[in-house]
Amino acid sequence: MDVATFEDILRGQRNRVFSYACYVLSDREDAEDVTQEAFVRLWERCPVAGGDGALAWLRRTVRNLCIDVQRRRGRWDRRQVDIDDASPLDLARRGRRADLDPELRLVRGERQRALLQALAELPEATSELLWLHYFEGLKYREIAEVVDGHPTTVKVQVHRARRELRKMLDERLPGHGPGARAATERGSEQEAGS
Amino acid sequence: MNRRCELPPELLEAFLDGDLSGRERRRVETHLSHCATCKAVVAEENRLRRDFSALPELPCPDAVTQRILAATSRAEAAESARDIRGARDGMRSPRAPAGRPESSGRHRGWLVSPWLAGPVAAALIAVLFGVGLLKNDTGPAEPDVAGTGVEHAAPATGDAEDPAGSDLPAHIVIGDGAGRSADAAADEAKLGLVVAGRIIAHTRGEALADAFGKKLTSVLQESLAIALDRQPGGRG
Repeated sequence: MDVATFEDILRGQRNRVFSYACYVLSDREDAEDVTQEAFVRLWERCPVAGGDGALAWLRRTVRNLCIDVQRRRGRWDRRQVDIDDASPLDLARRGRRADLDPELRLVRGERQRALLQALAELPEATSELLWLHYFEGLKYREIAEVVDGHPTTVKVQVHRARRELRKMLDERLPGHGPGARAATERGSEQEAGS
Repeated sequence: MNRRCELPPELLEAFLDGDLSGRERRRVETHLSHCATCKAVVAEENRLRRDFSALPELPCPDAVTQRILAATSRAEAAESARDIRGARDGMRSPRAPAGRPESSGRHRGWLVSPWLAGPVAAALIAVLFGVGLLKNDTGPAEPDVAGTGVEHAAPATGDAEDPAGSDLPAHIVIGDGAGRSADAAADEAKLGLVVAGRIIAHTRGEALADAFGKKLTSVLQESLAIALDRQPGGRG
């Protein structure tokens, strides 16, 4: 990787990396540490000269660093479990995590806060897929590169994850689900007008 | 979708992903025209995407960027100092001016920071040249070194009372060895300062300039210490 490429990636991706880490970890300080370490490793260790390969390497690094943080917290859970099946300890941990960092005060609106809350309560492996799919806008093939999985498997997991997320939002947001479309539309209008 | 819906769930998911085309897509669209449940799922999905895309991008604090630069610079400063010693002691060539040797097999300790590669290489050459002057003790005025636009004055001999300290910035440490050639050290430091000035002039922002200036200062301090050690009566 040459000088200009690293500089471009640093300038172009630092906000994205920090945002991802901040949202996933719900902690500003951890997100700062992850961002710093990810770029230092990019410069020191990345075997790819640039382009999409370097970005994929950076994403994998960020992802792995976030997992490291979550493991230190004792929260990382690769099981694709339903939240209803989680142990009381899991629920307690998720409850702490759901206490979002003040950095996220920038997130406005009931819907977005409910979305973040739901993501925080999902198993990390599940919410990670959703972040990569929706927030990072990655295709299944790209997600598979990040999580070191097979694209078909990832696709199935994302489908399952978003169904779970929709279910959670349906329960939290009156009128969000299919059973209350009219109420949802009214709620959206009210939210937009507020 | 509900359980009575005849549309396979995977087909609706593929529709949501935009993976369908032609016949299958028309099939789903036809289904959506009369299935309120599936239509609501599609609407939810679109809303979900809007929610994600509307999440604000949180600005990475400047302090983090500076820490990244500092972290990369520290490792490189150590490498640069080792290069100086290695090049002088082993008479091997300084490293390539930019990037890491692909065949080195090392993953840690980048040799030169991305913003500092060319200038530091120039500085290293200049420093090595300066060390040579110290060894020779006396000699004619040197030509422009590494394109810095500065000509080396011939180093003076003798035991002056550290005249270099009088016109150097306080952060340049000349050293404390007895009997060293203070004039030569001053020349070298001045040359380094010129190079540092050029680095600062070519960087894009104050934070970068500050980091580069400090890094180069560190490299020069190291090289000066080495040079002083080599002087008769020096620490070495």
